[in-house]
Amino acid sequence: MDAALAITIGGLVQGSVFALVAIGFALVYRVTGTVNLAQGAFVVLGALTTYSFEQTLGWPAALAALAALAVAAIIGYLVAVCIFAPGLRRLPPSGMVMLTGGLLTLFEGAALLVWGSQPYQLPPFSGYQPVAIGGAKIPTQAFWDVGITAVVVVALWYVLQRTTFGKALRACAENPSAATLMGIDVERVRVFSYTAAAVLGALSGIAIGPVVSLQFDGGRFFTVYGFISVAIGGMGSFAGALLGGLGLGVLQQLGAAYVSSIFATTLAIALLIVTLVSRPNGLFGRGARREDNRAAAAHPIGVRTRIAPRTARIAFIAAAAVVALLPVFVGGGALSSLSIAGIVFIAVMGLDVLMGFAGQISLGHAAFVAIGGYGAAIATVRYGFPPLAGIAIGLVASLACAVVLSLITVRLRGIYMALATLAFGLLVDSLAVGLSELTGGPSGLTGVPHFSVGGYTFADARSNYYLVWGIALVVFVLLANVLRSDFGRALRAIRTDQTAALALGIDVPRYKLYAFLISAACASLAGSLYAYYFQFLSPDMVSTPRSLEYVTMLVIGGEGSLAGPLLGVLLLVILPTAIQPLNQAKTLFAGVVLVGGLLLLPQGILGVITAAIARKPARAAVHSTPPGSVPT
Amino acid sequence: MILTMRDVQAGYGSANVLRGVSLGVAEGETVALVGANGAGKSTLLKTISGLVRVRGGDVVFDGEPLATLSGPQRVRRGIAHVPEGRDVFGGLTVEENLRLGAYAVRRATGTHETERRLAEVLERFPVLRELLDRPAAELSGGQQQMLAIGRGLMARPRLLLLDEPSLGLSPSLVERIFAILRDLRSAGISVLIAEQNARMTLAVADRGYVLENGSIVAHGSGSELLHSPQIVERYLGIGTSTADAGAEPATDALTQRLRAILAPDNAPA
Repeated sequence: MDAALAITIGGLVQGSVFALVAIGFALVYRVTGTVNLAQGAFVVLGALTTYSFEQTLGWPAALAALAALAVAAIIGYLVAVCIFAPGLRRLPPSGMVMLTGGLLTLFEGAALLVWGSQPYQLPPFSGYQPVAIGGAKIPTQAFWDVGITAVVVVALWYVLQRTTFGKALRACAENPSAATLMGIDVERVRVFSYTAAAVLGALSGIAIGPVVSLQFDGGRFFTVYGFISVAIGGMGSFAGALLGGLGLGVLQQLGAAYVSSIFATTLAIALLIVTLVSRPNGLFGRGARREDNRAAAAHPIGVRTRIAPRTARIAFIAAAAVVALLPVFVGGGALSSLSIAGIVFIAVMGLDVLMGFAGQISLGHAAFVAIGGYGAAIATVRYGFPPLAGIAIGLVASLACAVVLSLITVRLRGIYMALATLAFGLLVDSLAVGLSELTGGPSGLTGVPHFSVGGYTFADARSNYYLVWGIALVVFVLLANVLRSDFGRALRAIRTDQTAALALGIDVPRYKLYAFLISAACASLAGSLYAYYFQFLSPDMVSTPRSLEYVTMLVIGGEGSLAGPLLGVLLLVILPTAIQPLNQAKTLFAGVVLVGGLLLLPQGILGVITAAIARKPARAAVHSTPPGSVPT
Repeated sequence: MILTMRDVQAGYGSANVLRGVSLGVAEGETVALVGANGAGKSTLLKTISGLVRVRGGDVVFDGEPLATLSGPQRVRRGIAHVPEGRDVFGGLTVEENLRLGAYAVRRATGTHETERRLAEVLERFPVLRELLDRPAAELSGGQQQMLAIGRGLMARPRLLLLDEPSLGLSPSLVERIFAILRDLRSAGISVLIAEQNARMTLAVADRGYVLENGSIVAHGSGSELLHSPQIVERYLGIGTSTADAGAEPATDALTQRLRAILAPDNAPA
């Protein structure tokens, strides 16, 4: 009984921190309609800067905490002004999800450089001596954490409901353009809410710092749990965020204590998916912001200019020739990174079908790479299947998961789809670690054989290179042909305007399912090849951060083009291995590329190239027509 | 002139919507902006309130060029824009909506003055008094329109921009809206109103401009425009096909008849 009480109190403490993070989410979401995936990064930032001030510089705890909040405020403000607000002006809501995902990656990369990869824990605010209430010993930190959350909730409620500024803030949330007409500086309110959310995030980090240890990539965890809290409670609802956070914390602790931590994670994510699908407004139902699809259509991300089929064909033949001849000139490490690039290219082409063509954001693409990889690895290592059968088993498993996920999420679009796929990715992450009898757990699965077919084994680097790139070229040609047909046009129609596509008689759910299956199949194939190539597979090779990397490669290369991903893959796979300092800052680099790409180069590298090619003939065409005269 | 626009050009993306518009609104004057859907009326109003950037030409308000001023700064100078489709804050109460109308000038006026204005607006729109605590989203279209106009008046603007206030309202409510407009005119508030309902608008307005394809194609006093054959034909609801709109004298006879039907109380001059 005492144990149950202690666990429940532990759950409330963790839940109060989830609630703080969730309130930050709700604040940014209400004012800007953006799900700020970087929210968790501020939790880590708050805890680690406090640690540095307190332990390294020897400042008193209270001063260190205040200084850390100030640092978070400054960084939050700068991010809001330089990245977040410009993004809101330029990007559709789906682009904003990717942008904040990029920010999360960027923060993780920067934190890795500053604090390294070891975990840190803060001392409790008021000593280690617990207070005995009834039969249970309660650590004093529990009172601090619950108290901080209570104070924040009351203060926020007061500001929003009772002050003029709060009314202005709510007006911006309701209708930004009308708010401008009231003389409200919408930009300033957005920047304020983002900065406030950053400070709230840092505050939750300082509160949880003495309870759990944190490391550079811990932000992900808080982003996810904060998001689950707010999604369960109702996006944009502060009461929902509070109740969702507390409930999730208790559930998490009870589940972990009485069943297993993997069960607790699975339960939390299952709860999220069920809520997203059945009650997208949350259990405490304040409606989510309407999503403006027209806005998304007005600012497209991706390659906009198509090049002439003849030029494309020449470019393809040239590229194929380069791929075929490269092993003659390079070997060793370079050949190995080129092979890895080929594998990743297959996965990102699949993602392009789903995102670039059908317009469905997936933040969980790596999950299918994982299923394909582990499917093949487990089938060959544990059950002695031949490698080809391993690929088939991975494909069947991936397609089965894709069908189920697709059926569940069929009515979701835009950011909800993105978040459901993110949740699915996290579920697969936790299973890859948790089902250790099958997957080998966190340390990975060793002894995977080389790929072999018909008695020939692809053992050396060169044969593997040709295997990978041969498959990549086949996939490219197949997809290029499929996407040039009515099928491809239907997908583009769905991307542009789902409702209009439906009105044209396009069976939207079916086409979305097909796009999803194609993308899952490509990812799965890439995953299997990955396992055979390395003869090894570990969870971090195929976990959620990889999903964000795939998105980065796709966006920077150029969405909706199939060839764009190649440029993105080369940039993110080859460049860090070629330039050593970049390799240490790989995560930071990926984050900077995603954020910078979305803001400065939304049409991708390929988009810039095709626009340049198309401009010459187009200019001639413009000059041949007289300047437009106004009809009378 | 409280507002002067000279050769204003504006647009979205690569499309030019306004192609050199010049107009003026004098102190206390009600000026109508009529024209078909897509002529650029809303865009023109937005260039004044700052929602759309001007690409060329000047917008001068009370002797001060607006180009470098942000939207909020323009509101503080005394420009209130009541946007098309009402755009009330649905989740906020009617009272909160109204109070936000005075947001930009809250420091300059103080609480006392805000209360006075609230009382004044409620006097002008008594229907809102019973609805003060209701979320604006629950109001009917007509009530929302009155709320939007009332919200605009809370800043006690020197120039009120009204965009399609009668859009989507029943005939009796349209009557009500135009009654309010006459009211504002007699109160001496400068108003620039964009409307597709040209006949009623021109009847209320001191002067009017006709916008077509982003350019001013005609202007004059309200009654002049109301009786111009060209305007009757194009904008007062009944037109002929462009093929025979040219030199056919019959058209003129037709417009004469139409004019008689549309404005029976105003005999042609």
